[in-house]
Amino acid sequence: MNKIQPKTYIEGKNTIYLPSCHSTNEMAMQIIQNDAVKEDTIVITDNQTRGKGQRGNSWETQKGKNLTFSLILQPYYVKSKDQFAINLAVSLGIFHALLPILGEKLKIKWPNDIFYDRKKIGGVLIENMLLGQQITYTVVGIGLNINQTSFNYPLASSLKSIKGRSYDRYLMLKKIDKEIDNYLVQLRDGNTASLLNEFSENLFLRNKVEKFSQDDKIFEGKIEGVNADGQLIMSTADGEKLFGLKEFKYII
Amino acid sequence: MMDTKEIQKLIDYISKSDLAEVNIETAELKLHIKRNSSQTFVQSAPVQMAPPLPAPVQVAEKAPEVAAPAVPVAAPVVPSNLIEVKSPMIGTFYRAGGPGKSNFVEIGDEISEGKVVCIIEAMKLFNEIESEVSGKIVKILVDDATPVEYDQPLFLVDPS
Repeated sequence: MNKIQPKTYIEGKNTIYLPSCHSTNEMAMQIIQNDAVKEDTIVITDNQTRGKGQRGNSWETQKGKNLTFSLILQPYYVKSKDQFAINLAVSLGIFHALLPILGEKLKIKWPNDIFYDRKKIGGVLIENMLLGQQITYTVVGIGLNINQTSFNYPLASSLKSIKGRSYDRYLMLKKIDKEIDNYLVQLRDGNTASLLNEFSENLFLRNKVEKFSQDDKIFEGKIEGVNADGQLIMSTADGEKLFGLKEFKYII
Repeated sequence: MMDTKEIQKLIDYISKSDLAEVNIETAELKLHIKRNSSQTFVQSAPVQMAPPLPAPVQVAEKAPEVAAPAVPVAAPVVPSNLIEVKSPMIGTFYRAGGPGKSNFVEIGDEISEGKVVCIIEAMKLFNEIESEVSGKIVKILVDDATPVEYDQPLFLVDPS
């Protein structure tokens, strides 16, 4: 394992910088298990060698070009069963940090990818530790393509690919962290409904009749938004329908 | 006569089934198992301690120690409680941290409070479920990679 080199990127936050690591989420989980961490800890690396995507999927990134980091949070104000609210705050935080740069083509692809036009520029992997209805820790892993311009995956893009210039990664980190904090404060203050609205309004492919697939059958529908459980609300020829992640696929 | 293992097997079987309540009465034993929403209570009451016919002398001598009243009473003499670890959320139940990784717990494992027993995933949010009780895992009630409901029992734990 790499030696931990503390650097303070963000005032008031405990930042753990790793020149290289398998996965910042795994590191964050280990830190939680080994010590008593304070809230507001950021684990960041310049070279994530085995980034985690959704269960078994990987997140590939070029060394030193992008942002790959994890936030350790203790959202005591969210109950286990209401945890989709954390996803709302995180997705909206990233969205708002990028909006001034990328403008209206920036979207949140349900449940938590960051898209520009029809390409993916960022992803989120949230891992919680639950003790009954109490969320003891949340680790929010964020991967965001900043200055990488060539990708193996055809649907991937980056800030630089879109805007034609490089961006300061740590300035972006500060912005994202600050925006996520703002939304978490709103959650703590009980404004989940307004986050739900804002999240729904900024969904990828919203309000357009598009083709999707369910259990390998293609159907047409229009994304309306999400409900508090995180299910996708769609209007279809058969009326309004709710979708979970497992039975639903985008056709992009 | 039923031994502890057999009773345990029976409890396991009932916990897997949809049966809410089971009464079993034999010459030596009266067993009443009732499922309730929060816990599974197991009550067993020896009714008549008449030793089996070909019983060795030692056993016959020991019998009076646990002798019950002559009249059958359904009172719990040796109550033993199994505690359910329940799902705090709707999602998909996973026994391991990822494909190819070993399971967090197996039947017979001693666990302490805070031990991660499974993962439940919903909407790409992954949740390590920590046990709220200490004890021994007696039964795993849900198959790997299957959906679970809010409050659905996942594990039976013997806290004693």
